Amino acid sequence: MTWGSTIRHAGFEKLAMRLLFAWVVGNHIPNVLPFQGLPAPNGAARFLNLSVLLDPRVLAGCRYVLYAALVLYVLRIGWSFALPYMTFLSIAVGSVINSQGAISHHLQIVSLVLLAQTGAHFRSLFGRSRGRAREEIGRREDRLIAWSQQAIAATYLVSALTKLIHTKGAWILQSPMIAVQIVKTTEQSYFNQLDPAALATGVAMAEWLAHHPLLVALTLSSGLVLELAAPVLLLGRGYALFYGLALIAFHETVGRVMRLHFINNQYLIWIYLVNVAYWTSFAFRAIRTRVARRQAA
Amino acid sequence: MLLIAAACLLLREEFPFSHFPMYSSFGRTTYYVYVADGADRPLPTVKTFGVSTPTLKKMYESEVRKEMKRTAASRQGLAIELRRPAGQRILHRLLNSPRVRRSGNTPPVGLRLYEVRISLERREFQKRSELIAELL
Repeated sequence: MTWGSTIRHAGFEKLAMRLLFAWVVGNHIPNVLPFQGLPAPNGAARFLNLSVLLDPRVLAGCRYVLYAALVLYVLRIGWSFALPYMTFLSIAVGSVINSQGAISHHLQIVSLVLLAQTGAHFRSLFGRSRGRAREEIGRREDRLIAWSQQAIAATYLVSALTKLIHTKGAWILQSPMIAVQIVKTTEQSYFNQLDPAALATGVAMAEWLAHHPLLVALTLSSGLVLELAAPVLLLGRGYALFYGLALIAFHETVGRVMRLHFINNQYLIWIYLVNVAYWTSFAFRAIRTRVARRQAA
Repeated sequence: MLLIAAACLLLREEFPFSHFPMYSSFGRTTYYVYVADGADRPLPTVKTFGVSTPTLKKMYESEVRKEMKRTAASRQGLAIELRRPAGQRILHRLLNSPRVRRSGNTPPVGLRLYEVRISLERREFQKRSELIAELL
């Protein structure tokens, strides 16, 4: 596998990816947008009047159309309607949520992957077709998957570059100060529900980190290197698997320590990088071949 | 990949693009805000207002930036009197939040917004709490 070439995926992998991604897209749109207005318009809300989505009846209608689009997406028909609609609704809802004077970062990755899939679809549609129609449809979906992986890689690469830009390259030197952030997130978590359960462990961990700055810097630098190495996941299935598992471990650690759970990121990593369907099938085939060889011997 | 990465870095925070600035730099100090009632009893922000404490801080921070822009003051020079209008606006928004209006319950009597500053000095945490704004 080299840069620029697209991996060919089997039908069952593609079906698993479509089903799981449709589930993620369906779930990332909330049932209600509990806001009164858009006090700080962001993204698409700067250009479009998205306040109509605050009306529960309008949002419910949009969700019904979304379900229809998701069915079309899974069945691999009508993508010229389904993908732009899914992308538009995702961006519109994300823009409304981020127009409340506070930017959150848990929805961007889904919208970016949808944007990449829509781009890949229309790029294929208006590009030159090669071979038979059936092969061409399969090739188009391979491109969709490849561009989704590229969108995921881009988000992690950007996150790493921002750290280096903001600190003029000194992020690792500053990183032991994460202990202060852990105290903050622990106490913020307490004030969410006034639940004292997590207070003691969070503060104890922060105190331990404050007394071991070198160890903290070493651990966090591995996270930064992981993010910087994101383009590696595009090198092939094996790279995507190991990189994906490393990212899952990274998110689990961040979730436990910082109470920041990027659940949509993790879903997309499982779907497009770890690709359980392929590796399960690979393992079965390997076992079957080994058993057949033993029997033949 | 490069196209999306470039768009994210250039547009910074325009949904769906983001430069993902979470924990992109660490200082010796940080802060958060919380809300208490008139008797100084902390209120659970998610249950009472439908807003998480990190989101509350982002909303407050956004209002503080507006005050900094309006008064041309630096963050260090932004005295509590200048942060008070930002805090008042946040408390008004919380009091009018759909969760408070929908619940049908009597809203909490008196609302207070506190800012808690945390710093790390010689491996010891220091905390300072300030009353920023109050609605009676």
